[in-house]
Amino acid sequence: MKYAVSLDDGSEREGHRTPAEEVTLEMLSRRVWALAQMDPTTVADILGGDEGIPLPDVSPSNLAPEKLLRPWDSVVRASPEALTDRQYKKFLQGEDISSEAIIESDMARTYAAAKNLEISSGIISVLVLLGLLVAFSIVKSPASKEAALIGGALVLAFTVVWRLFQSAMRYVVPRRSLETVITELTVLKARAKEDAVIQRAQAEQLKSLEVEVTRVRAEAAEARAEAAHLRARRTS
Amino acid sequence: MLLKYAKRVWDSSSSTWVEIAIVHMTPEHAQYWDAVIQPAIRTIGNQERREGKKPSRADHNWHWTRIRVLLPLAQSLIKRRCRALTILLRRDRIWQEPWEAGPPKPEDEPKAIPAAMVLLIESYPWLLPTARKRQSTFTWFMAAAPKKVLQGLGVFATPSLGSILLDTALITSMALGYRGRMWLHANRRGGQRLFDYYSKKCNLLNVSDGFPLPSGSLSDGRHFYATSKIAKQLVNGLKQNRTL
Repeated sequence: MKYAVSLDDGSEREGHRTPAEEVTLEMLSRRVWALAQMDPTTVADILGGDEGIPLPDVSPSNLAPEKLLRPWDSVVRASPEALTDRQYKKFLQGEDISSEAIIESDMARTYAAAKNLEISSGIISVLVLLGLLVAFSIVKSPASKEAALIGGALVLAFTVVWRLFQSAMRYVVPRRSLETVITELTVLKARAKEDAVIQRAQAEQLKSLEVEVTRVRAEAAEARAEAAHLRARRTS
Repeated sequence: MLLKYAKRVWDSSSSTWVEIAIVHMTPEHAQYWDAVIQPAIRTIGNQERREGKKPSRADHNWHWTRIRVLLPLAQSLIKRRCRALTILLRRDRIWQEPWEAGPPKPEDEPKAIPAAMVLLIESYPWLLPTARKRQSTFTWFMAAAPKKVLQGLGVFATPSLGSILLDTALITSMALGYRGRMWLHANRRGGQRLFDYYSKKCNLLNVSDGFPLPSGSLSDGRHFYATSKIAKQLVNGLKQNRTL
């Protein structure tokens, strides 16, 4: 969720900021800069004091408190590890980073495991080659030398092919998953936009219904008053 | 091995373990706190004022949306990172708005209610002077919701979360490679009660009045700290809280 006072550089928005927006942004940046210069204890004293310092309102939305709560089952626990730069930027922008943090740390772990596997497989191939080389130098029979040469060449060829295959996979697999992630993100973004439009429409509908209800209530009150008046006239 | 944040807390009133979730604080958590929990905290303070006392809670005037949004932004200008965390408690399916009369409402699914909030500065110069410059974690803002408010919101098991809040700061310091070095300032508004809480209940060490701080200013005698040794002891004391 983005804040009422946007923190973007304006590249995503069409047109220019209104003067009021510019004043708010300028005030925000001046205040934030002043807070940055202060000792944390002073900041806490100021924010906790009775007078405080005038700060712009940064409430993210006008949703009812109940709508801000998430289902317990969807909660993702935070890891104490440091956030990546990208995650931290998102955190500053007010976005929920919990699930992403988990995915990224999982990816980092998988990457580390793959790297370890790669290193050990490299060591094994070098050892095999060394073994063959030693055998080649020790054995004196030309027939065995020939066999060792063919064997060595085969192992070397297999290692080269295997490495090429691994490199290809390293490029293709993340690319594919990246494409999937990008597609999913686009769909999610579109859905979020749709939801926002629907919510706005519903809010407008609700507002017009409220207006209607007020009007009907007023009319009913008028009718009641009229009826009471008529009844009073009839009795008199 | 990397230690995890706590996952459960012992509730002495019901003699049961209560599941908690420590998550990265979203603006929605802060907004919920400001809308629902903070007014109740202010009411407590105002009641104390009417009785001729000063509000005892340090967070009487806090505004978590501003704390969550503006302070990390301000710190990022001087290349420091903040970590904002929320401790969530589970609200069961049946609940009732505290301001609404009538029968309790059934709910489709259990909800996660913000029960405590903490804002840390991840890397801050260490309080004690050392030969080599050392970094530590600074606990900046920390607040737990009053139990009565949570109970009014439908959270029936409301364990004390103070030690867990402190534990999150220590675990963060350890995860960032500062070996548990952490310090904080007990807000003057919290009075002797807050001072005693940090020194006696949390077993943190205190620096004397006039002690020079890394910022160049002098301590008012209300700064507390945990060394690596103390942090290790405190964290080990909550070993059981890290599993479900």
